[in-house]
Amino acid sequence: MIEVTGLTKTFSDIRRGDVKALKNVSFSAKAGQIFGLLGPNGAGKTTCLRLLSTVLRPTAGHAEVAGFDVVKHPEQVRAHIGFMSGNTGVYDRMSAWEMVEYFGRLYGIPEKERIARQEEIFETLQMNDFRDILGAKMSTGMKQKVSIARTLIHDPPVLIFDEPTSGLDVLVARSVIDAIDRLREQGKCIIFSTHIMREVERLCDQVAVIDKGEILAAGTLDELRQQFQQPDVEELFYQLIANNRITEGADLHKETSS
Amino acid sequence: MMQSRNVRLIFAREIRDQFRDRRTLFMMLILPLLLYPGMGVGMLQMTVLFSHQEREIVVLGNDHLPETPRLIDGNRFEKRFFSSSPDAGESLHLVLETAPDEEEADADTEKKDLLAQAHHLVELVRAKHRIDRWEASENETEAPPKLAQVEQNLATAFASFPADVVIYFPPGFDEFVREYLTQDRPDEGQVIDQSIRPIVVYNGADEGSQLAYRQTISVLEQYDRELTRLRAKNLNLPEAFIDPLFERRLQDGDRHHVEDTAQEEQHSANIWSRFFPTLLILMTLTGAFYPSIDLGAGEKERGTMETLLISPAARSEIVLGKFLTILLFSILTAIFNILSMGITAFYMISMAGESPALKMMNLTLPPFTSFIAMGVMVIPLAAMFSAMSLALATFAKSTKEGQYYLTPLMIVVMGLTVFCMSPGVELTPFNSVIPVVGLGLLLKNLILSPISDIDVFVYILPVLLTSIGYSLIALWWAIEQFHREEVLFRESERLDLKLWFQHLLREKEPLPTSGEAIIAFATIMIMQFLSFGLFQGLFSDPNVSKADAILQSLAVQQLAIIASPALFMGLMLTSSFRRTFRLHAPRLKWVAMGILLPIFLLPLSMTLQSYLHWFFPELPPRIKEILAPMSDPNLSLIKLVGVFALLPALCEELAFRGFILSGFSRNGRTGVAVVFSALLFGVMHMIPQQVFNAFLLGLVLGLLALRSGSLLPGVLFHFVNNALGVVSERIPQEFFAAETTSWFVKVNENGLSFSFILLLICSVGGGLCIRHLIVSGNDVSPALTEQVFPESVSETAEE
Repeated sequence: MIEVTGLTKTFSDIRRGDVKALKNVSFSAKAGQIFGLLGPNGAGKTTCLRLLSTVLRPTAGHAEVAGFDVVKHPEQVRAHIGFMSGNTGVYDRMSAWEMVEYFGRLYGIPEKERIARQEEIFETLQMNDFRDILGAKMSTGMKQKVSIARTLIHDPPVLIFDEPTSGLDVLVARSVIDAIDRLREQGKCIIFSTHIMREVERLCDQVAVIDKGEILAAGTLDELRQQFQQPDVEELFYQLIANNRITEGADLHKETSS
Repeated sequence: MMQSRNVRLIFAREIRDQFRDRRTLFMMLILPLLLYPGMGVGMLQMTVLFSHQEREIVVLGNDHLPETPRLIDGNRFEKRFFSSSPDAGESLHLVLETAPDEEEADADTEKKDLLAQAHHLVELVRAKHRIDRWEASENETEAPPKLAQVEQNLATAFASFPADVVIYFPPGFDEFVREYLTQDRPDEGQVIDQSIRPIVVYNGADEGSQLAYRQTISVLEQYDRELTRLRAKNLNLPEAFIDPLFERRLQDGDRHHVEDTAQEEQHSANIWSRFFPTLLILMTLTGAFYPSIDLGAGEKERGTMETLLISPAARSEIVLGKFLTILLFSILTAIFNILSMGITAFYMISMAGESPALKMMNLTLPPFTSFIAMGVMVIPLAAMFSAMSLALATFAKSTKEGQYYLTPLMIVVMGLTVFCMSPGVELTPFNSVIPVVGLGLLLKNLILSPISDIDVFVYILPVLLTSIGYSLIALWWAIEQFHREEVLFRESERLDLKLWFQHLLREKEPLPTSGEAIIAFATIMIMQFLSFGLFQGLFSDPNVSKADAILQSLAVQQLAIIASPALFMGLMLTSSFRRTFRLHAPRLKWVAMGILLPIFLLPLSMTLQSYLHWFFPELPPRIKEILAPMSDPNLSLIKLVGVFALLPALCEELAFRGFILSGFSRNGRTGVAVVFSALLFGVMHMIPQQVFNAFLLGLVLGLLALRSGSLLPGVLFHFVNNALGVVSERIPQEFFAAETTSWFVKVNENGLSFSFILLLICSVGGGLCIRHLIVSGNDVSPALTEQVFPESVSETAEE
């Protein structure tokens, strides 16, 4: 469902000159599976997912989502994915219902079908008690639910979640994780970025550890545990990244503190 | 590709969003509804206050005034001496030195003080007159009294003087008048003693004083005329003796036989024709201002930009939806403002029957056609502003930044509005294609149309078409902004100038950026502007001949102002000087084309220019004056070719086809780069005719530089083109007289004119060359391209 080969993205930055946010990254994700993209802040996770959602254009390389090339058919790609991140906010002057309705219409879902689907999503995500509240007056949890409802309204085969639980309290985070888990059962191809290990252990079928724009290791969690002889995922993650930074000659503490 | 459904959905959403925003509604509806009635009330009060403002005039020596004709009646001037309206006299209050009905003892100290001050002023004036006379007599024995000192004293004394004007009638004035009236004939050679004339003191910089003075002096002039009339009567001269040209009656001061054909509505139309376009322009802009910030920068600020970008709508659809929303609000704002103002005006005019203050303004309602004209014009106007403000607002990171970016637009539009509403600016072909100015002038003339002497309707189509063109360009620009990742995902970090400079100098890239190209151009323009003053000095230097001064200043301009900034920036900011300035050896065919193509194109461009002569405004006489010495046949041809051909060919090519074109074409969009660099090249030439010509040349030169990968063909082209122009002025007449040459070219009073055959040959030759330029590929080695445009290479490889 997602096929990424040699994906590269370069930005020019005033502080650091040309920055390669993503260097020659390749991976693939299948339907019915959750693919976890693990990495510290600034590793290139968001850039990678933005490239997949066609919001950014790759500098080099190739990516195919649901059978469509992200450069050649961006509209088709966007029609077949649901994308949610910390940066995909909710409109202040729209109610929960209107927001989802608006996107449903943009996706071109027939009205009857859309209303039925919207009712269903509002039911399962327990959003009926705030369906007429404007975005400006919603809590963070409510907004997150609206975002999820927005990503699901057109029943896309591919779902991309960029740190969907960041900034949420335990209760809401749990319900988001549960929702994602249920989506896998529906046979969706899900790609999911995070730096929280518990979420990875709970959800991911496949993981790729990414740092400084490069994939350091990839496979199932079990495969990684065996490969690096480390049963604790958090420790494994830390060592991978620490080793990577030492080989690159960078000071880990300095990097993380900046 | 574009789906109208998506545009409609986005449009509908944005509209709803805006209607839920109280600020937008306030700006669009509430403000105009409150503003104009409020302003109306304010204006009413102002006029009432203003008309009751009395001006005080101190009359000294009023007892020296003759009994007949009488100038003063009580505390007022005689009503009949007010030429415009007898009511005007009501606002002039006279303080008389010797009041007839007042006891000397009753005069309060305040008046005494006032009179004393007035006397002091008159004394100073007389002192000044004495100095004037003294200087005129060139008396060298006495020590010179200080004129400046007296003038200074006079100014200080008047500043603390509470009244507005002082009139002084010297003793013996009545005697003088009586003699004047009764004398049979003027004594020949008699010099009137200047000290017998009245003195008037006022301050022209003080508005009240100025106003009172104007009325006072017109009264005195009428009084003067009355004296002449009386004397003529005493001498039994006919009345026409005084006014041979126009019969003038003292009462109304009208010049008979002079007929003002303007009717009241026309006077009003004249006022409305300035007022409505100004209001319409400013209100459509204001109406576009706030929604565009909200829809552009606001989207980023509230973190919904990415949400929108991942929707299935294409970016062009998003921009179009937003554009239509802003357009609607801009139009509505303008309409509500005009409506509210119209209703207020209607109400005030209907009230005018009761208020004399309003009657004075003589306003009637605007003609109904003006509302139709405004209804049509508001659409292209709003379209242009909406697209421009959307592009600027998209560029901004936050709403605050959006306001910063939009303010210059506001200022420029206001400047253009003031320009097109100033008297004397007419709707000409050239003015009609300037953005905002064209629409403003057209609207002005449409409102005036019944009395306008310009055939307005001819202009409607060109103005509308060019405005639509500008709107489309602005819209394209807005869509362009939505395609730029660095604009959409700009991090809100503070601008650190030091860091930025370090970045510029340290992380050099082989080619300049488009931003740097624009800075280079701005530097050239600013230096050009600053150098005007410098050259002015050179022209006025009597030791240098006019022609030499011009040649020198042009050479300096080319070297210091055009070439140097580009070369300097190239050295400092890029890592490959050679590639930035295209210092490569071109293929032979491009060299040949650089020499041949201008020979083909020059007759065509000269013919085109002579056809378009009517379109451009005439050169101001000052510039003509400067250019005149250039056609002096004694000027050395080598000097002329050097300054007009060689230097521009080198310097302008380095700047425009070197640094600037390299900057624009860096991201691989060569078509846009050529057009942009040509546009800037045109703008640099300042004079409208040359701007147009240089733009066309710039297109060819840009294409040539891009295709050949070298600066040389362009330099050759530029040199040959300019040199031909210079030399053609020097070709002896006999050359054109020869039979064979007259087949191709003739000379007449307008310069050269080319025969159809020559033009045909040139068109075919030039056309073939340009076609070849357009279809052939760029002569840049693939290795170079890969470094410069990695993006475009990877894309083409895929296809």
